[in-house]
Amino acid sequence: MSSLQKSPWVIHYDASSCNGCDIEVLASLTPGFDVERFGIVNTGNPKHADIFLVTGSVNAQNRIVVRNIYDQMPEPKVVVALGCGNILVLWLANVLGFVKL
Amino acid sequence: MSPWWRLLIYLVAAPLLGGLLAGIDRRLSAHMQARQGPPLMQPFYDVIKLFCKERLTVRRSQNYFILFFFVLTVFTGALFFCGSDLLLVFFALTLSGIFFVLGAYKASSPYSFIGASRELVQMMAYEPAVLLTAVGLYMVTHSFQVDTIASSTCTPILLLPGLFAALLYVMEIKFRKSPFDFSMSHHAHQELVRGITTEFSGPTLALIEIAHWYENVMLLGWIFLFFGTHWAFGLSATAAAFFLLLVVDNVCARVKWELALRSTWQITLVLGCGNILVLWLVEVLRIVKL
Repeated sequence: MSSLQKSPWVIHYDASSCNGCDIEVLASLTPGFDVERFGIVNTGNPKHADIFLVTGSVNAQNRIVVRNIYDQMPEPKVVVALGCGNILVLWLANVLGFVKL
Repeated sequence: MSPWWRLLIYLVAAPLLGGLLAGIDRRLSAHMQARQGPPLMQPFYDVIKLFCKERLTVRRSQNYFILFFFVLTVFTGALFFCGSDLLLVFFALTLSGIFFVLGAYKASSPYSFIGASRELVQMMAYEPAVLLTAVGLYMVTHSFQVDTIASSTCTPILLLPGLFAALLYVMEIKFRKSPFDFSMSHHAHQELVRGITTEFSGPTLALIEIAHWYENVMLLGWIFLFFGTHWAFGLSATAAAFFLLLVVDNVCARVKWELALRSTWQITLVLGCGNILVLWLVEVLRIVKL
């Protein structure tokens, strides 16, 4: 697992967010914050990625897309839900039984 | 040094050197972009991580093509560093490239199809310059054997400056750097998702990366070959050429394949063929005068 710590490759997916977190994600790639010094690369290909970064809320329309991207990623993989846009809504939706991922 | 010792040293040292070069590449590029960049050993961490990942394929046979691509790339470099025939080296390199393209075609996804077509266009773009390099080196040193060329008394760069410039131009294609990285691009860059490497993951992707390290070391060896027996000057010139490639990579944007193909062939024709024509004319005039 330590090799994964040195080189985590990220795929970022925006599931209907307000784009606030997306801007932050992309800003972290800029020279100001430079997340590449940790070996993190924003790869656009789920087949190359280790971390699935989801911003925004997963709803009925993009549920299939999220599942599709998740399935394409090779093990070992991690899903990170970014921002309050999705965590609260996802928790509520799961509790109320709207969404089952 | 005996060819067998050189082969052994090459097999072990080339990926280490290639990975270090890739690390230097990313670090220097980062500094050019006013940021820190990954540690020098980052490419090795990447490859080790990729070997620990699950092997996902579209078709099982696609990974065997990549294995052949890897073996043939190592074979090409081994041929070169053991002093074999330069033309054989170039043809072996073409064959390994074909296996890479075939692997991408086998994966049958739209992204890898387009990436594979673009890789073929890239090969079409750089092949004339590479073949003319062999022709030019033969004209100057009267041999195709890398051993003889490397130990010849005349310094090829003095007689082949145009050809060297054309080779540096196509090196940008071979190193897969902007402006000619439309087939696949390195880590943080994307082109049609990942171009030719879209459908490869885990250990196969690691093999592709290591094959590129072997190839890059051999490409720098080609540049070094132009400097004959002046080792110190040749090494510093090769380092300067690598740095130039980095600078151009960071300055230029990616171009479309039409512009890449057209401009590469024009430069090869004018600088490469022109150089060889001038050399031939000088030779003819010398014989006529005698």
